[in-house]
Amino acid sequence: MSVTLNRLCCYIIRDDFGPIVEQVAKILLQKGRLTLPVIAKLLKFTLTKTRECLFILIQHNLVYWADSRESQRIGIYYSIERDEILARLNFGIYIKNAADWVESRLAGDLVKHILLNGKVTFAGMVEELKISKKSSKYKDVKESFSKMIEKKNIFAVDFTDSKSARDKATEAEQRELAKVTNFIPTKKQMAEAKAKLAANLDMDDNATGSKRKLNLENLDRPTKQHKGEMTFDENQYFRLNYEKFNVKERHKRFAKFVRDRINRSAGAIIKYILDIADCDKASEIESCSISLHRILKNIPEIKDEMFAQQMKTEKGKTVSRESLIKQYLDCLIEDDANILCKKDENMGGMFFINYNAFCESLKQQVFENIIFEKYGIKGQRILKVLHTKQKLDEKAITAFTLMSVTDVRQKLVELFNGGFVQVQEVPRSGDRAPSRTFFFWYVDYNKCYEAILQNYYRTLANIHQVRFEQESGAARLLDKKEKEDALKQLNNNTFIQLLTESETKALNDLEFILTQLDTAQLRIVQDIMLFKNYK
Amino acid sequence: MEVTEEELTVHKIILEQGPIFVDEIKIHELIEYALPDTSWEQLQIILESLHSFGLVRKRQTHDERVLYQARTKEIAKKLQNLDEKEFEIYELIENSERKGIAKSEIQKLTKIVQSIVESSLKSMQDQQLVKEVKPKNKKLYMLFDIKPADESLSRLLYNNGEVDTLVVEALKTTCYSFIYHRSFPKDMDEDAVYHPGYTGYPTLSKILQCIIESKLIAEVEVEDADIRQILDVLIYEGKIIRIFSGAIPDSDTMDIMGTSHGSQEVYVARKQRAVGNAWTPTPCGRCPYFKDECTEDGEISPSNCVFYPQWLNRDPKEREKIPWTGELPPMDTSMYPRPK
Repeated sequence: MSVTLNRLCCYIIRDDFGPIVEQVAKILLQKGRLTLPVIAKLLKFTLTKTRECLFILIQHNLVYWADSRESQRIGIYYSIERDEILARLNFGIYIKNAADWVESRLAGDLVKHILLNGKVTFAGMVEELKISKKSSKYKDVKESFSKMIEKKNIFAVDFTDSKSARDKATEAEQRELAKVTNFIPTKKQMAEAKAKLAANLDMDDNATGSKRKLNLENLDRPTKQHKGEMTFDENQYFRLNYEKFNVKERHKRFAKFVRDRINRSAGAIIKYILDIADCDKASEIESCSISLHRILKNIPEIKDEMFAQQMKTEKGKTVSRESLIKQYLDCLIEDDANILCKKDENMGGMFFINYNAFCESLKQQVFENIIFEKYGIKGQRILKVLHTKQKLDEKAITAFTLMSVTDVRQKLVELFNGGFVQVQEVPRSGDRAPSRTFFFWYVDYNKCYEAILQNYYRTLANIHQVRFEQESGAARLLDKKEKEDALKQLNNNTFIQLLTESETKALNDLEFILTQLDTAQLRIVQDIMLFKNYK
Repeated sequence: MEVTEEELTVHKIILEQGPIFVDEIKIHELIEYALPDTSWEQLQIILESLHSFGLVRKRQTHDERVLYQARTKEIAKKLQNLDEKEFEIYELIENSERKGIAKSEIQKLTKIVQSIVESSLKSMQDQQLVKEVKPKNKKLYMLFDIKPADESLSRLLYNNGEVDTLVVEALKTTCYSFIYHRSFPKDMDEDAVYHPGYTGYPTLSKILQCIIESKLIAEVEVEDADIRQILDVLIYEGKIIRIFSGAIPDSDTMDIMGTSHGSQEVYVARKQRAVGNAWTPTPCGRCPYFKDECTEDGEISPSNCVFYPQWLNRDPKEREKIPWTGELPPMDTSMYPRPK
């Protein structure tokens, strides 16, 4: 797993920053924490070159540093965060959907700019985008930016944020302990210090970098009175809050899942409920309770016609809007995928979403689809039987699945080789002879998800490798194309042509191939998000 | 000699107890209401007489108690026509109950010559007293109206102890289409669903009735358990789900007597759309060398992969024709020599 992941991380760095930075990243991935001279020595790079590479990686939030005092000397150690590198795969999804998620037209461009620079200040961004302070665009950009701060899509970072979370935690813990005692702390004191720090950390979550104290209760209410009130430091650095975007992507996927499972109307309703709940963190297990009244208020009446068309109500009964939506909610509650839960009957019913259970159903669906496509309907049947009935021997599986013994045996071996089913041996006698041993087959879905995640990473690395191969094969063409573009821009003349007709055709073919690879990659990334980021 | 009224009453009481052996003391208690003045000795005489007519079976326990089980009048009538040897064979088969007994075993236990055993079995089969079942190439005999103990002896889904996949598939298709056509409202939007309290979804008995009426299975009687097993398979395949339907009394759920059924299990089909996955459509998702042989710079690697160019250079129109579900066809692996 680790080898594949390192390989993939290196490819991502190469794709985004080129082969020299990749080498620095690779050495950090392989060897862990290193100081600047050691990195330079291992790579046979000059110190300046290595420092520049590290600077790029720190700017993009990939490398963290920590200073450690060794007698008189202070050594600075650099370490790389694998998760941050893998998060770069999702950037395409963030940019594409930013406008929808932030509900601002300019958000896409802003997010793209932030991601291109790792972390940005508002002043720097405005300068780089060449936006005049007097223009109306400046006002729009500022509004979008403050909206993103307000909705926690971006958050402020400072110099110390380039220290890894673990180092910061250790330092804080030591500081806390120093307040308590000068001697070796007891177990109880350590636990108290940790608890105190954890409590502080929770409070810090609300920090957004804005000068105005954020009032969470007012977030979803009409913010007329606050318009233009939000101010922020224009020279404060901000970076993207990946988690918030991941949660938004999760909700998009939830809505699609419901749309496919029940119908479009149910999908639309669950989308509105998810919007109302407005979850911030992927770790949240349940949403807050939402009353029926609030759901009704948030669903636009324009959808009523579609709702009425897609629900066959009881004969001879005219159904009001409220009861129609209530029927849809009942549909969602009754579904065995744990889509919606009911907490209470007051105020027409209080509803909540169990994100955890919902995710589990979604994962299960995707996993079963993989099994179906790879091992056929018979493989899926065996897996579902094992999942429902737990440990079973071959004969019992045959009886439940109504398949021939040979088919069952063959599929079990295939599934076993794929790492999806396991065997439990139960010997009947002390000598553990195979002839007197029960062999029970079982399936552990969590283990299967691990296996799938590993396959996804490996496939992604392979796709990257194929892409590099394709690009290096057409390196001359790409260079020529780059020159042509540069000349066109320099002379402000669109008629300059360096590429011949056959070369243009070859380039188009290459582009088509790269698009296919990118599409495959994007789809895999979405599934990786499901299995890795959503709990 | 005719069966007396008293004997018939006793027989009826024992028969009401179902297909179990009843202790003679319990029989005495049971007949107290119908025949109040019957003494223990009189009962013994009645039971002995019933046994001679073939209306009851007798079994002695290790602690000298005698148990009786009633046979139906029809069977008793048929048993009257059997000769002594045939009756002996019949009792042996009857005692084997749901396990069944092999022909060789009958010969061994009764010490009757093979030809007579065979002819007796044949005549009894003609009279529908016993039947022949075939689990795993071995012929077994058991009473005609008994269901085999082992599920694998189900005559509908199993043939010679092996699952009859043809029958299973045919039944699966019929059941699924029956359920599917009753799971979604017609003449509405194609995405429409029934309201949550809807009670018209098909039940097991309705599906069974459909199978019987379709005359898909001609020779063997279709049973509830068989169809239930087929429906379970459909559930495992994710094509249908089993839910409980509420008991709302309306014209659909009322039977002729006007009583409404309680909460019942119904079957609902899932939409024919599955959540896709991203992995299997890529060449890696179905490459036989993906897991072990393919490495970054090995003999087989993504750089010299033969499947990727095939996949990437495919005509976009051809791509659309590839079915998005179902087992993927194996890739042509002949291009790669098998690594040693």
